[in-house]
Amino acid sequence: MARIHVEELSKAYPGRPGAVQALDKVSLEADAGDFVAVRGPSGCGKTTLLLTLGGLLQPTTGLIELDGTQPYALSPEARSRFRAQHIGFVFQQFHLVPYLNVFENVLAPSVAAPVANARERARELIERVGLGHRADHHPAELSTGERQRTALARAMLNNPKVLLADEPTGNLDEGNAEVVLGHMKAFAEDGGTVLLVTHEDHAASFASRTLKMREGRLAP
Amino acid sequence: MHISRLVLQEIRYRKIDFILGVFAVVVASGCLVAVMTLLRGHALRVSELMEAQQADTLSLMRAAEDDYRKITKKLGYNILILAKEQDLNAFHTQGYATALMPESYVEQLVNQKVMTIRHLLPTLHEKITWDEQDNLPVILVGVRGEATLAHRPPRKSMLDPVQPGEIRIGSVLHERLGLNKGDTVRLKGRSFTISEVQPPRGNADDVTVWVHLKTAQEMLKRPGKINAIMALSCHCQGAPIEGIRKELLAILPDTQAIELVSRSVVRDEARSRVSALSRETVEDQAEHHAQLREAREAFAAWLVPLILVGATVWIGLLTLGNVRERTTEIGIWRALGFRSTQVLRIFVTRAMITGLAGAALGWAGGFLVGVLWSRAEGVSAGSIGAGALVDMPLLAAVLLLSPLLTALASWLPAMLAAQQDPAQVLRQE
Ligand SMILES: Nc1ncnc2c1ncn2[C@@H]1O[C@H](COP(=O)(O)OP(=O)(O)OP(=O)(O)O)[C@@H](O)[C@H]1O
Ligand SMILES: [Mg+2]
Repeated sequence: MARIHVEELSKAYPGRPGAVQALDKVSLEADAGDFVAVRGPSGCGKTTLLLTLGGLLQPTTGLIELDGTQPYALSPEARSRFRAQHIGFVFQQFHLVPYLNVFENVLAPSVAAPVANARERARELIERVGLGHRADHHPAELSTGERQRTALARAMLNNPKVLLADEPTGNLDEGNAEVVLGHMKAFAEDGGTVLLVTHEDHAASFASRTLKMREGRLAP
Repeated sequence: MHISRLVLQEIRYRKIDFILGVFAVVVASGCLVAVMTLLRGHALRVSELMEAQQADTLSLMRAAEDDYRKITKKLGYNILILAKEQDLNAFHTQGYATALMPESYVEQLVNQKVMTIRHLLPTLHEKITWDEQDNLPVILVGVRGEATLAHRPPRKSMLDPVQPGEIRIGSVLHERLGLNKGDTVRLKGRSFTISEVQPPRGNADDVTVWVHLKTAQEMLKRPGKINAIMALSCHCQGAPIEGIRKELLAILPDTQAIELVSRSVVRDEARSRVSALSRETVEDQAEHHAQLREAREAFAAWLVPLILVGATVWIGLLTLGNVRERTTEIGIWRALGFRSTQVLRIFVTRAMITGLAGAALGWAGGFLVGVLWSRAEGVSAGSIGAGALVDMPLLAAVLLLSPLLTALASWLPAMLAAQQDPAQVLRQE
C-alpha cells in the first residue's frame, strides 16, 4: 500500500465569472522514503494539490488515500485529528505564531493531539535544525532562515508520515535553502514521504522524483 | 502545552486589546458591585436602626414596667371597695361614696388573708359645711392607719395616719383661709391642730380636711361605719380587677370593687409613649435610608442592565476584531490539526480570562466606590464598617457570572473563527 495514493483528483473552484478547474484528474503515487518535487508555473494548481492532500480542501471528485485512510471519508473532527497525527505542513511564509517563542511554536502541534515526550522531542528537533541557542526567541527576533527551520521543526514534532511543503525555500537565500532542503531529505531517508512544491531547479534537485504540473494536470 | 498557555501568551502579546476587554468588564461589574454595595449598606443601616429602636424600646419598656409601681403609687390607691348598695352613678357624680359599711370589714379582709390587694385604708367621706369658716363647703375625710396585713412583709404606709386631735388640710383651704401648719382651728365645735398642709393635687383633695376616723365617725354620728376601703392592687400576682372582685366576693359578699386607674391603661400609655419617643428619632433615619435605597435601586434597575448589555456588545466586538486580526493564525492552527472546537475554545477561553480579570478588578474597584458612596450617604453612621459591606455571594456571583457572560458575548465571533476555511487563508501566499 502506497503512502500517498491519489486517483483522478479534481478540484474546481466555483465562482461567479465561471468555475476554475484548479486540479484536473490528477493521479499520484508516493511511498515511504519518497521525496517528490512538484514543479509548474504560477497558478497551475500546486498549492491546491497540497491543501487537498492535507485534508484542508475538499476535492470535487477523485480519491485520496494517505497510509490507507481516506481523509474526506472522515468527519471534520476526525480529519483534523488525522492531520494532527500524520501530516506536517511547511509554508513559504513560515506561518509561525508571533507570540510564541521558538520552543513553544515547535511544541504547538502537541496541543492539537498529544505527542509522546513532546517537550523533549521539541528540544531535540530545535537542536537538530541548529536553533538550540534561539529556543527562547520569538519569530520577530529570527532571520528568515531561522524562521523556516523553526517551521520545519514544528512540522516534524508529531512524527508525520507525510510532509507537505509549499515553496519552503521561496523566501530563503541559497545557503538557508540548502539547510532546510537537507533536513527534508533526511526526513525522507528516515522513512517519511515529502511532497515539495517549488519553482526552483536547485530545490528540485534534492528530490528523488520530479513531477511537472500544468493547468491542473500532472506529468512526469 | 495547554490551550490556556497559548491564550495567556496571546494576551501578553496583544495587551491593549486585552486591557480594552478587561476595562469593559471592570466598568460593568464595578457598577454592579458599587450599586449593590450601596444598597446593602442602606439595608444594613435600616436594620441596624430598627434593631437599635427595638432595643431602645425594650429597655425603656423595662424601665417603664419598673416605674409602674411607682406610677400607680403616685396616683394613689387604685382600688376602691364600696358597700354593695352604693349607687355608682351617685358615687361618680358626687365624687365620694355615701352608702355605709362596717369598719370591721377591714379586719375581716386581714383575717381572711386577702391576696389580691394590699395597703387597706378604711375611710369615711362626707361633704360638710365648715360653720366656723364662713360655711365653706369642704369634704371631711376620716382616716386611720392602714390595716396591717400580718401575712405579708410590712410595708410603709402610703398615707401618714392622722392622729386624734390633729387635722390635715388641702392646699386650697390653706391659701383661702390663711391656715398654716401648727395653727389651731375649730370644726363642728371641736378643736384641732393643723398637722400638715397637703401639697396641691389639682383635685378634690385640695378642698378636703382629714381627721382621725374615730373622730369623723363621732362628728358625723356614724359610729363604726365607713363608706370606702381604699386599696392598692397587688402587682406581684398581676391580678386584674376580675381577680380582685372574685376574692372580695368570697370574703365580703356585701361589697363591690371599682378600679380607679386601670393598670393596663397605665401600661399601654407608658408603652406607646416610650415607643413613640424612640420611633420618632430612629424611624426618620431608617426611612431616610430606605428611601435612598429605593431611589438607588430604581437607578440601578436600568443602569445595570444597560451596562451589562453594553459590555456584552463591547466584548463581542472586541473578540470579533481579535478574530479578524488572527485569521492567518487560525489557518495555521487548523493546518497543525486543531479541531474547530479547539479554535473555538481558544477564543472563548480568552474571553473568560478577560471576564475573570475584569470581574476581580471590577469587584475591588466597585466595592471601593460602593464603600465611599455608602459613607457619603451616611451608612457608616452606626457600627457598619467596610467589612460588613462585603457580600460574599455577590463576589462569587460576579467572579462566576462575568466569565460566563464574556464567554457568551464572544461566542458568535469565536464560532466564526472556528468555521473559518483554513484553505482560504493558507493559499494567500
Ligand atoms: N478561491 C478560489 N476561487 C477561484 N479560483 C481560485 C481560488 N483559489 C485558487 N484559484 C485558482 O486556482 C488556480 C490554482 O491556484 P493555486 O494557488 O493552486 O496555484 P499555484 O500553482 O499554487 O500558484 P503559485 O505558484 O502562484 O502559488 C489558480 O488559477 C487560481 O487562480
Ligand atoms: Mg501556490
